[in-house]
Amino acid sequence: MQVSINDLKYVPTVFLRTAEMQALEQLSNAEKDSIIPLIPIKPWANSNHLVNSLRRVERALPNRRFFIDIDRYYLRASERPAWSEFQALRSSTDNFLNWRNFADESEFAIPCIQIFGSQADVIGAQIAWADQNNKPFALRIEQRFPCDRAAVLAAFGSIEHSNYIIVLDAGWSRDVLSSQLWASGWITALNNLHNDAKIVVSASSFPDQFMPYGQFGTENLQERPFYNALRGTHNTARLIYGDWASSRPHGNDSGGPGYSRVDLPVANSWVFFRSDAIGGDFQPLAAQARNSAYWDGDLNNWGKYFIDNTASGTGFTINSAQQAAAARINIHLNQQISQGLGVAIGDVPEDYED
Amino acid sequence: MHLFNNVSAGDKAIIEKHLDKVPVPVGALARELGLEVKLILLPPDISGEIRPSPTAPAGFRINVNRHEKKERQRFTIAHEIGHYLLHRSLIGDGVSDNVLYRSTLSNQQEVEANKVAAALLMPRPTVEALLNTHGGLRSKEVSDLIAEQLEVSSPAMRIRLGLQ
Repeated sequence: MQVSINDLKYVPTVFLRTAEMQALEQLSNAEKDSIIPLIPIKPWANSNHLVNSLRRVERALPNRRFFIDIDRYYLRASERPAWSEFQALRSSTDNFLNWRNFADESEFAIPCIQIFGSQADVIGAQIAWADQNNKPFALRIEQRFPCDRAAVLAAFGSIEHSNYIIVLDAGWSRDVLSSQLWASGWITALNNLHNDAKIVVSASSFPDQFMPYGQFGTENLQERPFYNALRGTHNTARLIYGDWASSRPHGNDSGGPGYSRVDLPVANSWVFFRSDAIGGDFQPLAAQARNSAYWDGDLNNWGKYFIDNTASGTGFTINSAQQAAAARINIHLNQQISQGLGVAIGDVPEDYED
Repeated sequence: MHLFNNVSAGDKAIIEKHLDKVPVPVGALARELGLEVKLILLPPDISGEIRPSPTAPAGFRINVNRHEKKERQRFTIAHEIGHYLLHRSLIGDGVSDNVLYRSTLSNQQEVEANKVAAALLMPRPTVEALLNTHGGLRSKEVSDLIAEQLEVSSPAMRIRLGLQ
């Protein structure tokens, strides 16, 4: 049974990319049941139509709900209809009718209300549509894509139920803590109108440069300290932890093959094992990860199993940066789900689901 | 289908009821046959196993490697169903199938279980119907499309279509 919108402990923003979807799909049923992830929608892989983006998420999370928003970082135009369908989602005509119709294509999709560039009446109309259709919704406020604050607060103030969440997304930065003022201002303003609003505090600090680490390095997550600092400031607010599942936005990845890397997320940091050559073999890196003091030996999750297989050269093994990323994201989700629940999600046999 | 000659009428009826669905719900099929199907942590070289279970109506539980791909898990479940249908008297304390579907049973029995798996996951009438929706051409591209629809691996579907 998937967690209810009122009991969320962790809301990861998971981009619609191959590594992310594989990481999500490989979570155990118990893990999938404990989150409602937020998926920024863009055209999926080489699909001709945008609806396949929803189908891909549904495949990763069978019979489970997920939040959807428009991926405002994705700018890779193509000749495929999926690109024009994607562009059409941004149209504010008829209070974002294209977006609302798209959200209706999946019974499991919980839409984010489109607030970017919207006035209060357009935001209000979308909320009214969700209410009339008995849909929960999310209001995702992104620091990188500023909205009309007064319009959002006016529409927010008129909500008369609690079937929604707010997501404060500070975006990607190597200095997430500098977004505290921005987030704090929003929390105060929102709580002045609804002091019981469920507010997800989300950001990403996953590094974009690995040269400085050489062949081995560690880096602390900034997302938890960011969330904890805001909790300290707003101790009566209903804050929920969020992050980007240890990823960066589109366009931050260097092209071509780079230095191979195996990343091992641990409780509140990432550990990097990096090759000294472009396109290096992943096996010795996985072996270093497995032999390190950071390895707890517990193979209860797919990402660690993947690294363990790679180290041993047994079964399915990591052979690309994308697969290494899938392992990292899967372990990261497992770590943060466990922290949110306050108990490690262990290895218990589960019923197979078709 | 001679493969199912020794299968009881009741089990055959259950199988036939599920075969017209796309993809075939192999977990539901196993459960209706009275088998338990569990995802568990298995060593990396083991895909699945079938063991006696006092809590399963049919007396057996299928354990699937929780970390393998969905398509692989589906084939493993169908393969273990094959062992249940054809070799249950030989299961004893349990049969573990490695990633190459080799076990303590004979090669012949493993081949039979693989044939059952193919018949359950890629029923001939369904494959033919899907081929027709893609223009009837037996190409690798079409094979891959049908594999995705039936949630089986590309190599398994290509073998089924005689493409490799």
